[in-house]
Amino acid sequence: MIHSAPPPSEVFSICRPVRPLGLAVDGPVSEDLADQCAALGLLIGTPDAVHADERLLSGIASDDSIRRGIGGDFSGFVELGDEGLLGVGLRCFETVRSGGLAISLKTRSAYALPTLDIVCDALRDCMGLAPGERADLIGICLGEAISNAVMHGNLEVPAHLRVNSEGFQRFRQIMHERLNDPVLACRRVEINILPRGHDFIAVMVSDQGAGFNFAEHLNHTVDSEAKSGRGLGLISRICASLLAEDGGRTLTMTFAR
Amino acid sequence: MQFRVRDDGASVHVALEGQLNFAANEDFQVLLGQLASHKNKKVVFDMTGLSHIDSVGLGLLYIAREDMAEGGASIVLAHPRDNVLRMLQLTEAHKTFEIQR
Repeated sequence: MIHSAPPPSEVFSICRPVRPLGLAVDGPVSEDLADQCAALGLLIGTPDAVHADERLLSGIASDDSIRRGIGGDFSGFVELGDEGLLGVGLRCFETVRSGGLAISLKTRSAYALPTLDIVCDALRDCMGLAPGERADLIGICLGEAISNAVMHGNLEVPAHLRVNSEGFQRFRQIMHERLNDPVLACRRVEINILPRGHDFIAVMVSDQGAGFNFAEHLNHTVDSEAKSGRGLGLISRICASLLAEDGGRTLTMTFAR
Repeated sequence: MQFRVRDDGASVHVALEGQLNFAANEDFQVLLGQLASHKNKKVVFDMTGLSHIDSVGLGLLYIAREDMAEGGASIVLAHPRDNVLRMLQLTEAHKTFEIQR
């Protein structure tokens, strides 16, 4: 018996329509960058010319440029590399499309610039986080997560060196060497911030290092005079929820406001 | 991080400014070098100007304490801002350091 094809019916998508996202480039737009944006579904133009529901500012990273990117007119800042957007995590674009804030920096910039201050100011000014104990505790977690992403994630500097003065010298030397390594120093540190309803806020810190065993480190205990190894334990005590993704390369911290 | 060292004879005052964090390594090394000559004194780290301390920065203070104890010096952490004090409390730093509010 031959069945006839069912009549065509209207197709419903369970996905939300993708909001137009623009990349405002503070500087010349190369052909490669335009191609990358096309492939990512991003509109592209100069800050004055690109019109979209949400816009990311991109260009050279500085205190001013990042603050401009996460202030009023834009929803984030992406540091452009020699190869444009190559290496930028897709999570940044999804965060901004979802109404959040995204920052993507090379490790060298995240180290040299007052990244934590900039992000804490953004939490206060753009996400409405009132100054006080909650903001202080979130700042502590964010500082630990950025520090881990830079040192142990992207620069792959072992933590156990800082046990005494000699170890500290070795630690300094390795940090210096790796910050001058063009591959390691250009790995990205990305910070994505998303409100979760009125009562919670999610902050994701990502690196591009080797990853780590989250469960193993979480069970690690330190004594009160330890010189290293405190960061993750501190974060887990403060967060409402803590998840590791991407093999430990992304830490998702959710905080009560 | 920036710092200023002032020796008033009886004690040494170190005014810290900025962030004592993972990016303060080089500055802290210079500070340790300057403090090495101050033996048998109380060294007061004035934290009034310190906007943030992370666990790396805290680790540096523990290393400084050990180094300076060898020369008979002791460390006091003075006037931390609320967020810095919270970090000191969370990590039970008061068990090791004298903290002056």
